[in-house]
Amino acid sequence: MKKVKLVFVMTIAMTLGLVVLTPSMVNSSTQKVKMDGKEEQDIYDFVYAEITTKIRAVKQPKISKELFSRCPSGYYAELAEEYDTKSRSGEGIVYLYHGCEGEPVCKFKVDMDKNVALISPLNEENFVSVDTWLLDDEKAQNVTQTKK
Amino acid sequence: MKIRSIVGMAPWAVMTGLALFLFGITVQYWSFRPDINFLLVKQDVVFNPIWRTVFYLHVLAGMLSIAIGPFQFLKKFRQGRMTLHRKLGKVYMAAILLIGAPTGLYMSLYAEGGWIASLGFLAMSLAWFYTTFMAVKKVREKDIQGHIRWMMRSYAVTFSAVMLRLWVPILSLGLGWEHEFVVILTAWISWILNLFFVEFLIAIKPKSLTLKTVKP
Repeated sequence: MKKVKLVFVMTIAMTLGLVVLTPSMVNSSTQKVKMDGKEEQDIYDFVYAEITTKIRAVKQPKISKELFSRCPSGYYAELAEEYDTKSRSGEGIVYLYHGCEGEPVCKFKVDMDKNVALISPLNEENFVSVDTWLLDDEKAQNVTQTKK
Repeated sequence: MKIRSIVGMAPWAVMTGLALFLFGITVQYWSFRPDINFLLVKQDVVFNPIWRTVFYLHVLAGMLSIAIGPFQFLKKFRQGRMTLHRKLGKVYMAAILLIGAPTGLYMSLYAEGGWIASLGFLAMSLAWFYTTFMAVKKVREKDIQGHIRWMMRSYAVTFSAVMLRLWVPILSLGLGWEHEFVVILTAWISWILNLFFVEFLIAIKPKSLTLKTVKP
C-alpha cells in the first residue's frame, strides 16, 4: 500500500514539475464576439445554412487519421470581432477542421437584415455568392490539374 | 474450427486495435507541447499549471486503462498468467480510481460545449469510478462472475475515449451536424451507448461471456 501511495505522489509531482518547467510556446487565447447568446446563435445558424453546408456538399475533406479526434471535423465558420450588432452585419473566416487543427478556407460576410451571405478568397476582397465561389474554385482546380 | 475461433476473436481484435490506435495517438502529448491536438482548442487553460497537470495525469490513466483492458478479457491470458492478470488489474484499477476518474471530474468542469457537455463528462467520470469500484468489490468478495460483469461495464466507460473519437467525426463530418451540437451530444452518447451495448451482451449471455471461474 505504501508503494502505491509513493508511486501516486511521485506521478503527480513529476507531472506537475514537467508542466511547470516546459517553456510556453503558444500565447494566443480564444477571443469571442461580444453579443447576446440568441443573436450569436441566429448568425451561426444562418452561416451554417447558407455557407458551410453548401461548401460541404461540394467539397468533402479527405479521410485522415487526424479525424479520429474529440474535436469536430469539417467546415466551421468563425465570426470576427467587429460584428455590428446594429446593422446585424459582419465578417469572419470559414475553417476546415481535421480534428482539432483548422485551416482557413475563405472569408465570409453576412448581412442578416438583407439575408445575404457572401464569401471571398482569403487574400482578396472579392465577395461573391457561395455558388459562384464554388464554381470558380472548381474551375481553378481543373486548370491546375490540366497543367499537371 | 480455426475459422470459427478467428471469427469469434474479430470483435475483440477490432476493439483492441482501436484501443491501441488511440494509445498510439495519445503518446504525442508526452512531448509536453501545448500546441498539439486537443490542446489547440484549450488555449484558454493550457497555461494553467493545475489544469495542465490534471490533463497529463488524466492522459496517463487513460492510456494505461485503455491498453490494459482488452488483454484482461482474454480467457487464455487469465488462465495461463493469473499473477500477471492480477498485477495488470491492480494497475488498471489504480489508474482509474486514483487518477483517471478524479481528474476526469475536474476536467469535466472545463469541457467544451457548455454545462450540458460538462454534466455529460461529469456523469461519465462518476460512472467510470463506480463501475471500476464495483469490479474491485466483487473480486474481493470472490464473486468472479460479478467481477467480470462489472469489468465489462468499467471497460465500456474506458472505451468511451475511443467511441468519442469515432462519433465526433461521423456526426460532424459524415452527417454535417453543427460542431457545437456534436460536442454536447457526444459527451453523453460516447459512454451511455457503450453501457447499453455491454448490458445487452450481459443479458444475452453468449458462450464467450460465460467465462470459466478461475480461483481468485
